Amino acid sequence: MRAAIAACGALLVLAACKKEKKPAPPAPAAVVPAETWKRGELPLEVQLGAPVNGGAFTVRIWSEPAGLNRLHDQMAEGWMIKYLTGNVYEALAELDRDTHPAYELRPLLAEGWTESPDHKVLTVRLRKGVKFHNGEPFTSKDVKAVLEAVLDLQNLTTNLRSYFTDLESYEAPDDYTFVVRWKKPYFLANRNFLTSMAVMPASALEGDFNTLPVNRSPIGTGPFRFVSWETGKAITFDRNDSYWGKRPHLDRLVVRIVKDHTVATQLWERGEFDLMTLIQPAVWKSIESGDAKNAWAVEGYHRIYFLENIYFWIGWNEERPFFKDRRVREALARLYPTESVRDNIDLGLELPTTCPYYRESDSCDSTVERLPYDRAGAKRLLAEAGWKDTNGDGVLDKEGVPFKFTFLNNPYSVRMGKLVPLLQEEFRKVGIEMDIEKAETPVYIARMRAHDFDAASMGWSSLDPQQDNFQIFHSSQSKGGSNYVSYAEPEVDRLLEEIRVEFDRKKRNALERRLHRRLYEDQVYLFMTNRPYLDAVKKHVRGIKPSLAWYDLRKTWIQPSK
Amino acid sequence: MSAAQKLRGGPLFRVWRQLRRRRLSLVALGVLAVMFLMALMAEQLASDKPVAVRVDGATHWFPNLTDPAALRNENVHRLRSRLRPELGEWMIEPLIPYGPFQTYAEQPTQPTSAPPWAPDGEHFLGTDELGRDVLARIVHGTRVSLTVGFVAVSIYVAIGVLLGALAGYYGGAVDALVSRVTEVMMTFPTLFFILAVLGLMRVQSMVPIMVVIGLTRWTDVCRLVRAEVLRLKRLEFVEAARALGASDARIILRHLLPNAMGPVMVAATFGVAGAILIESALSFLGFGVPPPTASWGELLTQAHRYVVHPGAWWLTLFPGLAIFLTVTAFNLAGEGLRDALDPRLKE
Repeated sequence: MRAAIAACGALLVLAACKKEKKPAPPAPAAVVPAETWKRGELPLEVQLGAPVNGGAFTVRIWSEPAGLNRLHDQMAEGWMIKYLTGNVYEALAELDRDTHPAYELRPLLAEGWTESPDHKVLTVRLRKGVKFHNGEPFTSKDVKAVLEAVLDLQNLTTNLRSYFTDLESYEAPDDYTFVVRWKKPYFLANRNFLTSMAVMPASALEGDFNTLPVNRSPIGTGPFRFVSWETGKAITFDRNDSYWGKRPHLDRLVVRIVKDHTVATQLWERGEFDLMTLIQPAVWKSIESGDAKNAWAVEGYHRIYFLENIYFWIGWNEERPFFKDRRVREALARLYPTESVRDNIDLGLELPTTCPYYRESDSCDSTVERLPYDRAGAKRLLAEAGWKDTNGDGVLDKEGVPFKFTFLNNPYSVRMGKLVPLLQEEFRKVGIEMDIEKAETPVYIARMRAHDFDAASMGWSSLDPQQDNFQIFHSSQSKGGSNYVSYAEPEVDRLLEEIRVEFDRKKRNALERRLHRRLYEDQVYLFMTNRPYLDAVKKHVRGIKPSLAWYDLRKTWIQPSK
Repeated sequence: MSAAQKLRGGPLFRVWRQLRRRRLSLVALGVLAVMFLMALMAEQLASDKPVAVRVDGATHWFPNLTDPAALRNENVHRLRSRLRPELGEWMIEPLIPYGPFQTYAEQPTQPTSAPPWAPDGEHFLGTDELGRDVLARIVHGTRVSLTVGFVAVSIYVAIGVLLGALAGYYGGAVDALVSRVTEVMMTFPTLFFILAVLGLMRVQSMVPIMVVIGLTRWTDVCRLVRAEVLRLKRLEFVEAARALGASDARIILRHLLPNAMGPVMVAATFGVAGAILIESALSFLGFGVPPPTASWGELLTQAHRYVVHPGAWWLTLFPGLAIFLTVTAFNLAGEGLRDALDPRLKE
């Protein structure tokens, strides 16, 4: 389709010409947005009023999942986890959005649990009288089946399985009790187990894991049950009449899949979404102008600006001769024009960060200062590290090797598509040649995992602000883990290990702050930005609030028009 | 007969005389000539480095081509402001004092808003979302488009002529084989085939695009040549050549192909237009030439993000016009050539 659009470029142009020549309609009065609207804050009235039941709620989602089985590696992507968790699938516990930014645990399918003093035994009491969407009762055998599906090495469940490397045993002594035992204590072990196991009926997990019927039509215990999935168009959920908890207000939840941001913007302008997500920064800024042509956005929608727990980074593969030296990595960081990127590419919306944890948590050391944009300093550091232009060809070299590398880029990232050519120019000016190679997402991820890249960019995100960076920075994790850059530093290893067994949050935060400082000093990554949710919600939508764990649609309702 | 007379009476001259009568074809040829000049002289037309400069006691000729280390961090605007004519320093500027890679970070005046910027006195056709001059990028993009067009078409004309001539001349099993292969190749949708090949390739460059277009689109040429050779080989002059003891190779190369080249040239002219469109489509999809190379399709990709909110019509209009003009010019030239070569339309 898009190829056809390109081929018809000339036609589009002609259409555009005609449009230009039309006599201008009488200019309507300007629409000046309120300050809260500009900041992306929801006004108080959204949380007020007596909820009214009924109505359908349409959300724009950017990506189509490969399937709807939360346990499956290839299906569980960021967006489907957001809209399925808590709505269709429920876990034993959930992150309590009311306790932002700490996100304490709140029981969901568990009535409660007890932890042994050494944190190695977790005994969960399960809720009674809960029924799955297919009518089967929920018992401990379902929890067991889900855990066994995750642990089964035949299944593509490596992401969730990584939570259970220290699992010793598990058992279901009766229908409403479940016990897990760990070989060693780990501060996130129980939390991960309680919040991430999407519970589905044991009967639904029988058979070949890759072709289960629930991969296409999920069965859970949540307040919404799956109705239909039109590939490429929409996934529909209806209210679950036999829900065990408080009845949700909405009758229907429609997830509209619109991959193309421009098309999504046009549909949004036509009012097709109650909740528009992933508004592009340029669009976000353009509708602020106060121009009458933006009235639909200013008068029809509340904007939502909320910082996600995600940070984007550029990784330098330390297996390559260029990047092993910390001074080179620092030099490259000094060539990243933080301010100008913020103003010209991020339009002031993404926030520069230095921290691998949630920005508003106590895990970040707020005294860590970002390296300035400083070309002279970068040159000096590169010279110190031995990179000089000895043969006068304009490219730095060391021991006969020219400083030439390739940046692996994902063509779907609009931001990196702009940023990388900019960095390429910055690097060229100090004598570093960087080529750009594009790779489709699956290839891209595979190559990151195989450490088959020089430089690349990614974002690490977590719905839970309590997170563990062991998998990302521990030297043992360069094989099989997420330490794609092969970073190895004994002191960091030690800190990461201490953090894992520190159950006192204050003490753990202190260790995490030390880790943050050390990682930034080492320039393990070129830390870039935290990204916000840039969303908008129709003004008749009430009881909606952004959180790290996305929106709680159980509380959302629609104010009928008078 | 003198050489000039020979030329006047030659087939090329006859074609030219026919072409000259068709005003539209002449205009098309004119447009193409301008495009070629743009491609050849891109650096002289648009560059952030001067054509020649004397500064700091050294004279640099064509730093826009050589990018000397001494001027690495300079650009035309910076040089302009620090040039001291009283010391005998001078500079020859390119027509457009912006290079295709010169971003918002390297503007003569501090930008007050984020790019893309609308056309103004500084940037005649506006800038893209990185603040790069659209005119400079269109001029440099011409090179990509024309290179892809001509190299790809050359590859497939070569393949098509060879296979077509063999099939037509020898017939039988050779013909059957070539014809079946042709039919199989025709079932490949070029664009998707290229996308698949590019997905498998590690290097991103113009080369695989040109090669894949070349390897997939030879079928039309092949069928044309085969049909012509089939027709021609039964004519008396071929009989005569054979009677004189000419080898197969000589008959094909000296007698058959020169007479069969007319329709091939027409197909090739249309083919260049097609290849340019494919390259634009690929760049539009993000699989064209690697960044930051300027290409028309890449500009259209950006335009796609600026359709309504915020509108940036210059990102659609100008690269779109460049593609439209070039493709139309090639098609008109092709039509003119076809009519000129058609014996039935002769005076």
